[in-house]
Amino acid sequence: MSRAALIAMLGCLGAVAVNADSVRAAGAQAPTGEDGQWTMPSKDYAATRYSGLAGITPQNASSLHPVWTFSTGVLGGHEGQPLVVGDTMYVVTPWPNVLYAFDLTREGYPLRWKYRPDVSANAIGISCCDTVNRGAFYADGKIIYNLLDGHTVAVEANSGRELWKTQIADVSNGETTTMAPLVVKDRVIVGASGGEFGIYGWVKGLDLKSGRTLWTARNIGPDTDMLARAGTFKPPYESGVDLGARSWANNSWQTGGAPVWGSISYDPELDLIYYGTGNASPYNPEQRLGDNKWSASVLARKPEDGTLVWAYQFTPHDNWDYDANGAMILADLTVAGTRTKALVHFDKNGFAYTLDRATGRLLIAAAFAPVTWAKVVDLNTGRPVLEPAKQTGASRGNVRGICPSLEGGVSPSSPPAYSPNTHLFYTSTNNLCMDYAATRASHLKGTPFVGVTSPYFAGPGGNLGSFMAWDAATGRKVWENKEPYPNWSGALVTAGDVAFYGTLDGWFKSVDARTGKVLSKFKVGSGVVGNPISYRGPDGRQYVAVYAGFGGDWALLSGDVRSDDPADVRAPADFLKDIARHTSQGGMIWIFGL
Amino acid sequence: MAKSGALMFTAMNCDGCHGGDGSGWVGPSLADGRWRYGGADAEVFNSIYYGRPRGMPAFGGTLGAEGVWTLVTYIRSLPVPSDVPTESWEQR
Repeated sequence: MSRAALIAMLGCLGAVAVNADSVRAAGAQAPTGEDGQWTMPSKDYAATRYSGLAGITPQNASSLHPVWTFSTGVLGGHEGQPLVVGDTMYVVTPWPNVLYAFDLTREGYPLRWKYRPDVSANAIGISCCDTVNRGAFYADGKIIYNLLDGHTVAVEANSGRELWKTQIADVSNGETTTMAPLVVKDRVIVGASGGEFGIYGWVKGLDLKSGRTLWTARNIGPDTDMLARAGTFKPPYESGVDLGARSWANNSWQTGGAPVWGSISYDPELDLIYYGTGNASPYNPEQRLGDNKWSASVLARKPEDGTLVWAYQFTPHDNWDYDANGAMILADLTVAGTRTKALVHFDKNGFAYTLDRATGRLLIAAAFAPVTWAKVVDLNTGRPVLEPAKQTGASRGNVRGICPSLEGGVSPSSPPAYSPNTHLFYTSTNNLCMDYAATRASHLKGTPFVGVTSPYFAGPGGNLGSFMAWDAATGRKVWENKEPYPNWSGALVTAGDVAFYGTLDGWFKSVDARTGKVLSKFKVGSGVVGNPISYRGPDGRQYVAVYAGFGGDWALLSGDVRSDDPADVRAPADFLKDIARHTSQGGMIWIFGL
Repeated sequence: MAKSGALMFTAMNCDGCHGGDGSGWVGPSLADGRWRYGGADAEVFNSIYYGRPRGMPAFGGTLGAEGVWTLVTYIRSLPVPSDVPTESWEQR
């Protein structure tokens, strides 16, 4: 990298789009009571991944040690997290999506039951990014989750009996289902992956009792398909009808992607669900001129009937596969002296955003990772100020030196955490850049609709990832632990002011939430791409659980970390030359205690 | 023939699963000299023409026999590394 490019990059890193001193965090979203369970994928509707348990502290965390492990019997990226409901831990595996129920009251945590659904193997080949599952949701006595082959199931939590199974997606059309559902009142909200297959992205609302599909809302396309109703849909920076269709040249929205494979959050007072949409298809942007709304966006809807209320696009006319599927974390912040219901999002495009979650207006946008594709985000227009030399397309050939890479400044599969104690957000990051050579892609139903070659390389600093604490009120990094490899685990933070994360080379770490000082670490046997949780066991003690199981992206698996197929032996990936020295695929649940 | 097979490999989105130059992605590498279903011409032809489990579509209907042979020619032209089963990180 040239010196000039490096300076430009560092300049972007420092870019903060508001007067930082005018923004201060207030005590936000503090849970009113901690019941010691973990019943939702992100702990709570606000997606904080904050546990109110305080038994583990910076003073005693050095004695954390494994108290139990279990092999899921499955390989593949173990994303997502267990649930703990009462005295039972529930675990969903990657394909074939086995659901285990462990009895935490007995020695060795024997199974109460396991549920082995019949999931089509055809889904494996159309999973863009490994056969992952991002977790289950507990509601109304049911464990609800998605099977990779386009089904949502409800399983009775006590017995393991299947209560209903609904086909929500079409595998033959390139749709798979990896995200964790969200249950609001009597609605189950689900979406599908398929941004690499040119799907017509959507979310659906199912009936909690029967599993029946009650509404379907497209993320792109005409207002009628998007459930954008006159007088109800008010995007903060746009006006007009059919924005989701008119912003795509030649009706390219019909194969425009915008999948939903991250988490969904919910504000009970505003009665709005929030979720991010993925990339526009295909990756060659010249085949879909226009803003491509509402891909790479956050959408706010009414859960009951799917009505669209507002939408904000992080990356208009996405040139770089900057999906916005990462978590939308709800926290109440004081911005410029005004207490604001905020939404905080760390985007693949390298900027961390703070929005007003009632209206979708942008309050703050600051780079948390090296950014070269844009100079800054303009708060008046809500749009990025682009770097012309980093725009891509088949006619532009190989565009070099784009940061972040299409793995993102953070992977959307690595959800951050927010502590109302420290007022800090905690997140994994990737320090990867890329070259991007777009090519014309042809749409063949059920095959990839991509059109790019995009080799990665390390960003400045030599490390490929980190775990950091971020002050969303000032748009600044508070501390950062550099990691040698891209960091792909989710974050957990607790009332004891201890944060937890795993690394790609298989370390599980606890750190002081205020300083980042490592308090304990343990090698868990396979790379960690799952999300740690904390719960109170039947013995009254605090525990932390996490999956170990390398994978979750074919860029990670494209090298030499696999050992399960003698007919598929590859050279190490250029950007991860020695990862296979430290880890291999696996599938283990680990529980740590004091 | 191998050159038009290379163009077809991209145009039919084969690279979307098997990676650029067939080096492997969600689908297995076609350039490592190892084969799940056999690497002889006829075996590779059958994999493409009829498809395989775990997501390999059948392309016979779309491409016809001649098109599939064009792809086989390209795949068989890929440089295959010598098959050394040992990967070592120790300096010896």
